[in-house]
Amino acid sequence: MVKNHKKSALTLQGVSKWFGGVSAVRGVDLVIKVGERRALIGPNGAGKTTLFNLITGELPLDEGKIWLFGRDVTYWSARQRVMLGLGRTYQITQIFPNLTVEENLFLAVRRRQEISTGLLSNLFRSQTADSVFRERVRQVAQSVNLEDALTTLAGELSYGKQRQLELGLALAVDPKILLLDEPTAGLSAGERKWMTQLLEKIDKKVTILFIEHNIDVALHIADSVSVMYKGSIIAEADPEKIRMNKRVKEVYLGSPEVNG
Amino acid sequence: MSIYRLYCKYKLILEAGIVLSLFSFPWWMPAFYLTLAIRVLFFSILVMSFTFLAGQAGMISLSQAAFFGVSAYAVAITTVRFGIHFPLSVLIGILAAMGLASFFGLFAVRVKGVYFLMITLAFGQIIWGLADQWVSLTGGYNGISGISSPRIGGISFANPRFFYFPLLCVFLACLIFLALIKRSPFGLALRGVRDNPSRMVMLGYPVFLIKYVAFVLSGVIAGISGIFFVYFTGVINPHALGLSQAVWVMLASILGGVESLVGAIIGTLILSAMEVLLGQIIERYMLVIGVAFMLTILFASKGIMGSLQKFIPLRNLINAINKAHK
Amino acid sequence: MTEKIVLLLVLNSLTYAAVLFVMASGLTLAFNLMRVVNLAHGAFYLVGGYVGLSVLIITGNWGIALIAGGLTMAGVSIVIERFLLSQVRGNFLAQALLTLSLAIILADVSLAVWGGDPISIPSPTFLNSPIYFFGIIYPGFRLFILLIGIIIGVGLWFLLKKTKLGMAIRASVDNREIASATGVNVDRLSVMVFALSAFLGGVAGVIGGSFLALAPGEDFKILTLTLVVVIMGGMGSFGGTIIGALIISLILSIGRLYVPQFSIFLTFVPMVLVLSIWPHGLFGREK
Repeated sequence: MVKNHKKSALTLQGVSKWFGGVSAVRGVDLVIKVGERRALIGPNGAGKTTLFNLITGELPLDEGKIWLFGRDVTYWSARQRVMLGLGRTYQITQIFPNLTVEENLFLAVRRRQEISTGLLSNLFRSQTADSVFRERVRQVAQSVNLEDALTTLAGELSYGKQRQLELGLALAVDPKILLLDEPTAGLSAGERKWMTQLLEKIDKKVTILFIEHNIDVALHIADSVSVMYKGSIIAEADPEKIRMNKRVKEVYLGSPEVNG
Repeated sequence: MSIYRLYCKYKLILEAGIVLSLFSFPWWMPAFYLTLAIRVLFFSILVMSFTFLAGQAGMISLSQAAFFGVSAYAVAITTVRFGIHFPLSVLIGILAAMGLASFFGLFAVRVKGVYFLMITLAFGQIIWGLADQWVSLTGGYNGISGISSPRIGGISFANPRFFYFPLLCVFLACLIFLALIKRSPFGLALRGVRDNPSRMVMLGYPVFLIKYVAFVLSGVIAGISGIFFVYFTGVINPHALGLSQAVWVMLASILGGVESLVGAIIGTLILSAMEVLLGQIIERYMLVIGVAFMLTILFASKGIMGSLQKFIPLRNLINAINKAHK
Repeated sequence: MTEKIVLLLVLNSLTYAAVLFVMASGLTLAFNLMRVVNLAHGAFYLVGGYVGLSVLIITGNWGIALIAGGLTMAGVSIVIERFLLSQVRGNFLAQALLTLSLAIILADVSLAVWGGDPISIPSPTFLNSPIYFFGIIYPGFRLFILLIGIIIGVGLWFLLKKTKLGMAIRASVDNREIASATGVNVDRLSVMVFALSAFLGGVAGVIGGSFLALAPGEDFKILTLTLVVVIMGGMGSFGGTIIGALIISLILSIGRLYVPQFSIFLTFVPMVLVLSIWPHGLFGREK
């Protein structure tokens, strides 16, 4: 499995994390190919979000190794991994509530160019002056259906639109691999449909790993599915097989008839 | 609202008029008011340094008075004890504030919200303790007096009329500098860090560095204010960098609206005028400051500029900082 | 000779640590349950000390003065909690700023009432006799202070770990919602804990005022040292409070003896050393 890490987008090997004495993630192995759409499903408390935080580097891991596009990033900071092409969304919306939608997206699109060419040289330029960035912001806003709300404060958007902005922030950094933490959580049926369409429209070159509670959305978008339970990956297969898998039914789909 | 629209329409003319009239002050203003104007100008610089850090970066710092005091002490000590004069003494003063801010920043910037408040309070108070206790250098409780303003080419800046012009220029420079930063990409990044630091990390921003640069910058600005303070008053003692000074700065900033640099100036003006007026009527000035501070936190947290323009009310800002740091 | 100096140093720092511990544990108690960083805690110390002084002058009994100083501050704190802090509940920064305004107000009120001259609380006569041991002479009163500190520490431990009230407090610290769902009245508990915290502040004021002096400015000085203790030990940890208090008072005692002009500044050194490795203190964690 580890041999593949040179060609894969993301490889995890024996990744574990403990909180106090409790193990939240234990010995997770995972290989995701470039361009793959992988769903991560499992009951609440299975450790899915924790696994995301380990992959992004927002949490330090206790054991194991992580490769991103063939590079060992186990000890890299979150920022370094982002610079390598990692983007993510959060289950609890993480936007900039006191900034406008436009400013939110500006922050996302100009991070690489601006910050790497030096903080001070950009001190005296107007934040919204550059037409290149303006155009890019418009593009991203369009791709998540927010082009009409550019001047609205993000905190004043409806919940559904905040979720779209959340996705927009992740897309605006041009990620090569995208981690989506429950993109449709809390959305109405109509909004969920919207969001599913947005997700399907994402460039096929972008690798996506996403957590999804809505099994239909998950099976609809995903090429393959990993099932997580009590910190471990207990099954990995394509969507149709997952539907049939007994053990998955037992822990996740909640069919109590199977024992053992 | 119509006044606001009128203001927007003639903004440039209005602002030019204000700046011009500011430059005309020394020619017609009575000495008492000119002195007050000078105090308002240099304290405004200090309050702006706080407002910039709190409003843009969401860092409510109780160390600003320490940076103010350290540069003032540095000028006083180099002038009186070592006979080093302008311009070298001023350079040393600014470097002292910058050095202290660079050092404090290393620790303070790593924590958030209430922890930041606590650490900057403790750091500021330790500098106060040093000023109070190191009698051989700082003169202890009585401080250092007899710092005279520089004399350049026959012009003595001890005369308030002459002191006023360089102060006004530096004041405007600081105001414009901070306003430019506010609208620059760096300013936007600061507000991003204020609103949501963890998202900023995941957008690839060096969050620590951004906060650190802002902290040091604001420390230097506070230091510039301290230099004018010590040259104008000729005296420096521990009171100038004590906690009551830090609270005074915070109150002025919040009164004016913590999002607005102009608000910082208005807040300073109001508080300074109050100080002069109340100083003649009652003894319990700090009590009034304390009660005003309390009422501001409880009720009028929008600030004065906040009610004029679409600035974020302080309460919302504090809530936002809180939420971002939970 | 050196051993005697060392012994004196250790004793001095232990008695001072007792005062700092009583202060810091009060601060920690309120922080743990209510997330209030009470910046008026130094003012509670000063006003408690002054009240104790006034009561001592009337009654002539140091013990009554000690209790009176504590109870007065407990009473004041209940008013503060009910009418002020409750206005901004849940907003930790606004709470801290509110207590800061109270610190300014209380400092000025105490200046108006008790004046600006440094003043000391006379220690109880039956404890005034010096005690001889290991070849040194030491004021009996200061050993008594150490004893009070230990009693308060053990008392707090007993209260938190062994009583029903302590169990309710610990449950609420862990999870407010669950605690109130199981029948704990968290609001009433908060008032009680804040009052207890202020009581400790007032008591510390009477103790501190008896071997140090009470004066304007002492409130912020003790607040700074208390903050240094909790920043170092880690906000919210009682164990950290004890260790922080011991380290800081040892540094202060050594500083007072050899470099009095730097005694406060020296406390900066251990704090910065700790913070450079653990940004949230020895036993602290990001909440």
